[in-house]
Amino acid sequence: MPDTWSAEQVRALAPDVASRHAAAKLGVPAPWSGTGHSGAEPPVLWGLCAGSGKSPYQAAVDLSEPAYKCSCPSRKFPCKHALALLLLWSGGQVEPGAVPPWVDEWLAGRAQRVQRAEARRESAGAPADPRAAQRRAAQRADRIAAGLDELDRWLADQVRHGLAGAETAGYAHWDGTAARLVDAQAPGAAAAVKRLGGTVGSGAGWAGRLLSELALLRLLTAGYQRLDTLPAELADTVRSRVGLTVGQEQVLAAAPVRDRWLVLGLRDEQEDQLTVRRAWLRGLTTGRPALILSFAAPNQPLAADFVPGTVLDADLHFYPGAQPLRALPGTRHTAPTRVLATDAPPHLAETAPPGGVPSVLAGVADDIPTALEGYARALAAEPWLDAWPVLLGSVTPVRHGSRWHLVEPSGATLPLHPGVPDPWPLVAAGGGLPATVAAEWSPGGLRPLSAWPSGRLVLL
Amino acid sequence: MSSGYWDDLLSTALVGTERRPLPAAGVPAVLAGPVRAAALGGGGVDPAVALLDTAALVTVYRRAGVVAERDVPVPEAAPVEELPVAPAAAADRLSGLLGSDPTGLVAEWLGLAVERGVLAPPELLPALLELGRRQTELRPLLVRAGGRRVRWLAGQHPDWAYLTRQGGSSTAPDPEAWELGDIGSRQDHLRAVRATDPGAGRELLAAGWATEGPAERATLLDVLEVGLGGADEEFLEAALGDRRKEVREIAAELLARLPGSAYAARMAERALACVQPSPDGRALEVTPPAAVDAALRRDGLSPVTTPTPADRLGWLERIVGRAPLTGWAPLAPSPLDFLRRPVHGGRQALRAGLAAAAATQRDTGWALALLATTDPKDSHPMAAALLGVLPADQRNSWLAGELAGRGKPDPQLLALLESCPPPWSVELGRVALDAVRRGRKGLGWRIHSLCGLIARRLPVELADEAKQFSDKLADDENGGRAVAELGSMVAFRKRMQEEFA
Repeated sequence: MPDTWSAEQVRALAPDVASRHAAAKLGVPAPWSGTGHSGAEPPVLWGLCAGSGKSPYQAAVDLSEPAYKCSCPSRKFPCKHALALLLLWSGGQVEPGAVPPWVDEWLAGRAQRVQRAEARRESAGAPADPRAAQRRAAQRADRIAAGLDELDRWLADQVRHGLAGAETAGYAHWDGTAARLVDAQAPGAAAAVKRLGGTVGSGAGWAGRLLSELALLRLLTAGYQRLDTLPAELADTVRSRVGLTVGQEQVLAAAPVRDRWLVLGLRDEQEDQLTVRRAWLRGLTTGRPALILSFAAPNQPLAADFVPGTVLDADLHFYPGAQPLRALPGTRHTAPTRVLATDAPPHLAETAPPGGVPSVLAGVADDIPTALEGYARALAAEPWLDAWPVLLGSVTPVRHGSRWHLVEPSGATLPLHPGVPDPWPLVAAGGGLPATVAAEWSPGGLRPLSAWPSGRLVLL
Repeated sequence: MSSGYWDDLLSTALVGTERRPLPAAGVPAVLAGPVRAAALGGGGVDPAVALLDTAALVTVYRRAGVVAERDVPVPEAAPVEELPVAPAAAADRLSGLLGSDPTGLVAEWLGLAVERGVLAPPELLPALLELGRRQTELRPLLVRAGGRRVRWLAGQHPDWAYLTRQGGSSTAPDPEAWELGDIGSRQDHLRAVRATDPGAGRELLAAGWATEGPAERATLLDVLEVGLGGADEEFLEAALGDRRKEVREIAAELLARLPGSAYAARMAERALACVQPSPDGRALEVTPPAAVDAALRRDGLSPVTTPTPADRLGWLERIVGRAPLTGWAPLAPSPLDFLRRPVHGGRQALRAGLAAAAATQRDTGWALALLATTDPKDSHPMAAALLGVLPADQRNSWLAGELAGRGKPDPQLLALLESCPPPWSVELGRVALDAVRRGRKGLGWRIHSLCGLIARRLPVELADEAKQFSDKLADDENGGRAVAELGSMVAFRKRMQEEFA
């Protein structure tokens, strides 16, 4: 049975604030009956919750994923009953018991679905009609080539006539080109063009940022034009950035990387019609970074599979590319465990080590120069890289002028991204002492994700 | 380094390559080869394409070449704490409370933390400081439950500076704070000195009195309440002449609490002059003063050119409010006897003045007597103030006694539950639940706030009774949700308390 999660971590799984409140109300023994947890594999919780209907709702949670089941009519995942059950368990109010038949049925059904998906994956390796598929692929390659050639000329036009005109041009200027790229079946390039529109007038130095993005887009089109001469991984990256996505089955068929993966943190962002959740991971043995993306429509909940501060012993299947980063989760070998706090007592007396780095992280965290070096190497492999995860071993937040920085005892600092809110919780929790901080580094600055001041996890 | 070259590239791009040639000089050495290749090969000789290719090279070069800055000073560490942080379960609960903000429970959490000698988790202090901006009742609790760190943190943000003015975070004298600290720390120091040596405290205050600002004079004079004694009289009499009204008021109130002081004697004399026994000896005749002379003015009353009867009754109330209650002894053997006598010409003003005196002089005997002789016609705000005078157990038992019974409870009495701060006795809790049950039909909309109040203050030992109450009455059309939630709120609070163990 894995260690219980803290209520904080359970709350982080809630799809929205209303679910959190509702779960807090139900997270008491009163409406529940027949609760229990299994000691063995797979670790599951279950319980019956009295609801507004006649018979109680059956709720169960498979902790290894986590996966949820509830017979209530809610469409949220996890629903308030599943969350409440987790809160109960987190509070130590669920006793071990024998797995009831309805939970067994659910687990069996899931196992069957997993098997069927695997079978589908294997058969997906060979497409139904290879010749038709080849023809489609060739057609698409032609369309993309034509679209990117046009993009190339358009990009040159921007700097030929001067970027100063971009400020008054309006979104139509960019959207038209983006739409044509969508027609040319190059959605990745289209999205990049749309983002250019957002750069214009976006604060001090926007012109420099715009030039950089235009230049990198030109680099992409040049790369596509020379696709055959590029090394294989770089060609994969170029194809992926243009918008030729690799199918999930294909990624899952590739060799996995198994490691104990630490979930560094989550960051959600609105992009067009979707909410994108970035879950950043780091392999504790390999030191490799990984990014797991999940998407949701505006009023749908986001996937709650990755809880910051937990370590998963699992397989990850990386998407092909010159600097592998994005991955899909594969087999999980054990249930997630929480990063253990240090042995230091919870009170903040002077005897605790400064910052109190959890022993699990001590070997994996970097100092600032090392982290920047890692980023530089990644950029060398993939110049279009925008966000890169870093785990800084000993930093303190400090305000300098109008910007916040994270500063090391040696004096080296990195600035925070101006779009990030003031890091007061970290200032308060760190108390002026250095802490281990996980963050996303981008050319604009750092975006802190989580921190471990004095051994306790703080989400930022 | 390369920023000069980049700036040149950028200005060319802004203007347009058709109007300006590419910059030739300033290319960083390491990029010289690729830049030349970009200018010649790749896009032919189209300068626009050459510019983009060069810009791509320089962009990636600059991004990869980021070097950490070094001119940022490392901040000072917060002072070391003495107390431990609250247990993890309790900390989680506070985090949940801050997210969803149900009324009053954050204050209770902080109170429990202070009681058990633990601190709020430091990462939640910013949210607590934000909450404390709007909810001033949290501030004294926050200053203690936040340990040393909360003051350290509050000093870094202008919105939170209010906390540095809040006293009550330490009980040890700190002479350095007296010289250099904020008003909150100075208050604490003075209080600590007064606690051990009142004379030294007064002298310390007197030494710097002339240089203190008006707001500081008021705040610090208030601290003389600690260890108040006859030796303070001279200083306080002098303060009666202070320029600032607030300071004069505080001085007058403190003097009124010194029964042996000349001020108290003056007021007692005036009070007895205004309240005389009637010729037949049974009733009391009240004659408010006709005017305010210079002496009365110095002692705190405001003169009016043409006083109305209401003005004069106001003066009477003031005088009676400042007269020592022991001074009424010649007129009646006990407070109850005094209050039972009929009064002619100013009963309300007299009673209001006596209530004020009971509150300032913290006289429980008079407070109880006043409460006992309250007429239905009298106003209840006075009752609320009087309840504040009583010690907790007397307050709880008085109100429990009043509310118990069989018939419908008086809504005004139920409203007095508001003036009964926690902790409630178990008896009061039971009686309150029962009173609401009996009187729910007549309460109308007030049942919502009443149930909310009871939910927050009911002793958690009564969690089971509360649940039964909610279960039985949840379906009743009077009250509905407020009643239904009472049970779960008390259960929530019970778990909250248990998590501190």
